[in-house]
Amino acid sequence: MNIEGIRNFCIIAHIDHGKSTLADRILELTGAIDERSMVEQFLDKMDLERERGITIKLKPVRIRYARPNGEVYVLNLIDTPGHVDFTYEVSRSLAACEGAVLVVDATQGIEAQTLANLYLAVDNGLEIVPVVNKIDLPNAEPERVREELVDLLGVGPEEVIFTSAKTGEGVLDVLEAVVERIPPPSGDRDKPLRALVFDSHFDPYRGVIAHIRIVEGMVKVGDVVKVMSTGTEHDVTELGVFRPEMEEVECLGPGEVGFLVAQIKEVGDVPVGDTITSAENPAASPLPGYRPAVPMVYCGLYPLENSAYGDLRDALEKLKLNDASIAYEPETSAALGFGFRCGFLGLLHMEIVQERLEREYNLELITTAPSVAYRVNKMSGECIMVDNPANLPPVAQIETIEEPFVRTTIFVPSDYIGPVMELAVERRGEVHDMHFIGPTRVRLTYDMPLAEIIYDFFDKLKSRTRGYASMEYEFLEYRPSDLVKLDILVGGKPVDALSSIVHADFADKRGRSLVERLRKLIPRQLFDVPIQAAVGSRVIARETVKAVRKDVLAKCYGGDVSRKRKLLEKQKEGKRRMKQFGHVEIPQEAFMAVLADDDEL
Amino acid sequence: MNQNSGGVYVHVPFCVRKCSYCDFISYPAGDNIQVMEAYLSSVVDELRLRKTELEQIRPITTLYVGGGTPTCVPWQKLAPFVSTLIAEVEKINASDPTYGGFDSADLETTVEANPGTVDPRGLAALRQSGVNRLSLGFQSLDARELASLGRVHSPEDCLRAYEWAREAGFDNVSVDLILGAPGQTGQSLAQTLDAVISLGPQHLSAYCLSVEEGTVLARAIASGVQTVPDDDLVAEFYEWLVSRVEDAGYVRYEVSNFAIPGFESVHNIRYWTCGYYVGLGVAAHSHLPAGAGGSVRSWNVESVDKYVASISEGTRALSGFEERTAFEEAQDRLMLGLRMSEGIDLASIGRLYGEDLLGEYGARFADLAEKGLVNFSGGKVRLTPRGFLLGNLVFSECVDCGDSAQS
Repeated sequence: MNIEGIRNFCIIAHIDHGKSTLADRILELTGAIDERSMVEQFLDKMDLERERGITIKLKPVRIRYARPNGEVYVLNLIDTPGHVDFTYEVSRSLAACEGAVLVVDATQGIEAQTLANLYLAVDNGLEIVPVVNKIDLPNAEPERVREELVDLLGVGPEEVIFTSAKTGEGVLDVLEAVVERIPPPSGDRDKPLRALVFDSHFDPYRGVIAHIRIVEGMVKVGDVVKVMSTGTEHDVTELGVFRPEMEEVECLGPGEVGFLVAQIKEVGDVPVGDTITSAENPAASPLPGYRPAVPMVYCGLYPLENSAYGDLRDALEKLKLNDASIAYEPETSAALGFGFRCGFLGLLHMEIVQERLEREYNLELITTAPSVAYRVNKMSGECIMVDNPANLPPVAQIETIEEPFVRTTIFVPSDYIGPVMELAVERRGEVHDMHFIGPTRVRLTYDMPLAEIIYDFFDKLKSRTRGYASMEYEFLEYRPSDLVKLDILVGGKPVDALSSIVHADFADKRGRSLVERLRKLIPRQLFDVPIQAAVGSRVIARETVKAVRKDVLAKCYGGDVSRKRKLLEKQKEGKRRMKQFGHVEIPQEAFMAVLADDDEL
Repeated sequence: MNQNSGGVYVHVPFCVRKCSYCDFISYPAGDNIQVMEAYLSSVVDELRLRKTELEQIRPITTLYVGGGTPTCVPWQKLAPFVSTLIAEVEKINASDPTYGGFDSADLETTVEANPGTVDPRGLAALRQSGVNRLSLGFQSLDARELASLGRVHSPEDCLRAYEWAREAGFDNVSVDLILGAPGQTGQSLAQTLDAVISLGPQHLSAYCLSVEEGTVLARAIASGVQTVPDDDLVAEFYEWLVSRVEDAGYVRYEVSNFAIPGFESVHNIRYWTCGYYVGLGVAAHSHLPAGAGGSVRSWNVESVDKYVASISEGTRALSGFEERTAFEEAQDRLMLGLRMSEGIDLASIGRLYGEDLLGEYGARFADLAEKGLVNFSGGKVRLTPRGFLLGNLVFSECVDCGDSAQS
C-alpha cells in the first residue's frame, strides 16, 4: 500500500476531557462502525473501563477516511490511557505514531495529565494537533483555553481546532488536520523487516497476538520471523488489521499498524517493546525499545479462604498474559496465610487488578495496605529491596533506608496555592518549581516521597482544592530518609500484615490514629482485646476493644423464622469473611486501615 | 408434643398510628372501617380455604390474634370475628374423632391489645367471645419513653387497661415491655418494673429495642434528636430485669419471656420448638409438614388490597415460600430451641428428624461451652447466663452461611 496515504496518530487527554467521545465520533464519521453497533466508548472494551470512564489497555483501529476532495487515506488511531499509572502504555502507543491529537476541555483548560502525556509525545517527536473540546457547554471558555495552548505549544491561534465531540461539530476539521499536518510514516519496503511490538494480547486458541507497527520492510503470511531479543523464530500464520474487529490481510508494509500471529505460546516470548525481523534476512540492529514498566506500588493479596490460593495463582498468571506490568511472587503472612506480594504501576492499576480478580475470577480477596519498595543498606554492606514492611530487617542491621521520590506536578487555580503548599509540606514535599500558566492558574512542582502520595494524597488534594486540582507524578530517584517500622499488636501479638514503614517524625501520630481506627473496625470479641502501636519495643499508643456484652435478636414477629434465620446467616457470613488471628477475628477493612486519613477520627 | 398439634396465627395489620420503632406491616386504622370489615371477612374465608392444611396439624390448640393492633378494630367487629375463628377451629378439631382427646375449652386464645384502644365494654366482649389470654403492649410506664416510642397511650392508660382486663374476667394477662427505649435509665426502668410487678400479670415479655433502618426512630437517632442507651447499658438493664422478675416469682423460659409457672405462652413455645401453624392475613407466616421430616415455610402478600382480592377469587394470597429438608428443620429446631431456658436435647431432636446431630454439632457446642456461652453435657445444650445476652453467637452456629433457597 502507498505509504504516503497512511497517518498514524493517537489522542491524548486528561480524564473526562472527551477523548473516548471524540474517538467514537471519528469511528462513526468514517463509517468504521455503523450507528447500530455503536456503544459509547467503543474502544474501551472492558466493563471496568466503561464504568470508570477510563482507558486501561491501548487499542489500535484502522480507519478508511475519504476526504471531502475525494482522496482516500488510511488512518490508524491508537487509543491511549490517560492516567499516570499507564504512562508506560502511553509511551508504547506514541512510539507507533507520527502525531497526536491533544484534547483539552473548554471548561477546564490544561490539566496535569494532559501535560505529562504531551511531554511524552513531544519527546517522541510527534506532531501535535491541539483541540479544544466541549465548546457546546454553557460554561465553555474556548478562547481562554486556546490562549493556554498557544502559550504551551508555541503554535498560532489558527492551528487550534474547536470541537464538540458530543454534537460532532469540528470533528471533520480534526480529521483534515490529521491528514494535512501529521507526516506520513517513512520507511523503506526493501530493507530487512523491522516491526515494533507495541502491545500484545493472549488468545487461548491462537496464542500470543502481537500488535505491531512496521517500521521498515515487509511481512507476509508464511514468512519465518525472528524476535530480536530472544532470537526465537516463528512461522507467521496470520496477519491482520483492527477495524476495530480483527480482519486478516496477506501482508503488512512500512507504516502499517496491525497484528501478527505465529504460534507463540507465551507473552514473554515476544516482549512488548521488542523488534520482530525476518529470520532469512535479519536486520542488523533492533529498533530503540522503551524501558520496561517498573512496579511502583506493592501490596499483599491473600485469598479469603486459604483453599483458594491455587485459584488466585492461576488468575494472576492469566491476568499477566494480558498485562505484563503486573509483578507477583508468593509470600506468607502469619496473619493472612499464603498469598502473593504484587507490584503495580500505581494505585489505580492496583485497584483495577483487584477488581478484575474479584469480578472476572470470582475471588474473595484480602488486600493489605499498599507500600512502596524501600532500598535498605545494611551494616554488612549488602543492599536489599523491601516491598513488604514486615520484611524490614532489625534496626541494628540497618545503616540507612532510602525511599523512592517522585516529581509531582499539580495544576491548580491560584486561589488554592496556600492549601496545596500546606498539604505538600505535611507530606514531606520540597518545592521544585512554581509557574503561572495564566493569570489564575498555577503549576506547582514538588519532589515528594512516593509513600506519601499513595497515602491518600490525591483525595486530600481534591478535598482541599474543592476538586479543582489535578496532579501527575513521575519517578525521580531514591533518597535516604529517617524511616521506622510501625508495628501493630493485637491481643499482645504483632500482626505482620498491619505493619507499615513511616517517617520517624510521623510515627506517633500515625500510631495513635491507626489504633484508634482499628478499635472501631475490630468487632467486640468475648474478651477485651488490646490494640497497640509500637516502634521497636516502644509502645506509642494503646486502645482496647471492650468485650461484647449483648448480641441477641429481638422478637420473632408472628413466627417469621425465615427472616430470623436470614439475619443469623448474614451474621455468620460476616464472621466467615474475617481472618482469625489467634482468638481474635479481624475484618478485611482493618488491613486497609493503614491507608486512611490521620485526621478523620 | 408440638409436632402433634398446631396453631393458628391471625395478623391484623391496622394501627391507630405507626410506632416510631416499627418496621412491620401496618396500615393506619383511621376511617376505613369498610377496609377493615372486608379484611376480617377475608381472613375467615382464608381459614376456610385452608381447611386441608389445618386438618393436617390438628388438633389446633392455640389461636393468636396479633398485629398491628387488633384492638384498633372496634370491639363490635372484633369480638364476633374472634368467636367465628374459634368456632371454625372447633369444627376442624371436631372433624376427626381420633383427635377428640383435645378439649376445645382448653384452646389458648390470645389477643394483643394496645392500652390506648381498649375500654371496659370491649374487653368484656372479647372475654365473652372466648379470648382467654390478653397480651397488653405497655412497653413502658414512663410518659417520655412512651412518647419517644411513638406509642398512642399514656402510663395511666396502661394501668387502667390492666384493671379493666381483670374486671372483664381475664385471669391470664401478659405485659410487654421494651428495654433500651430512648431516654430509658436504670431508674425509669425500675419504676416501670416495680409498678408492673405490683399489678401481678401472669406473663411478661421484655424485648430489647432494635433500631431498624428506615423507621422514624432510626431517622431521629441519625439526626441526633433521640438517643438510645448503648448495648452495654441495655445488657445491664436486661440482667437487672431478669433478677428482679425472678425474685418476684417469674421464671425465664425464653430469652425475652417470663411467666408464673403454668402460664407460659403455648403458642409462642410452638414457634421455638419448630411446631406447625397456619398464618392467616397479610404477611402472615405458616409452617407446615411436608413429609419425610421436611416442611414448608410460606408467607402471604403484604398488601391488604391484593390479599382481599386474592381471597375473594378463592386463592390463597401467597407471596413466597421455602422448602426445608429434615436436616434443615433440625437446624431450625436447634436455632430456635436454644432461645428457651430448657435448651435442646441433641439426641432426641436427632431421633425426631433422623439426623445425627451430636456428630454434626457436638464439636461446635463443645467450643461454645469452652467460651462460656452454653452448658453442654449429656447431649443437652442450654444457654449460660452470659449466653442469654450473646445468643446470636450460639444460634448462628446452627445455620449455614449465606443464601438458603427462597422463592
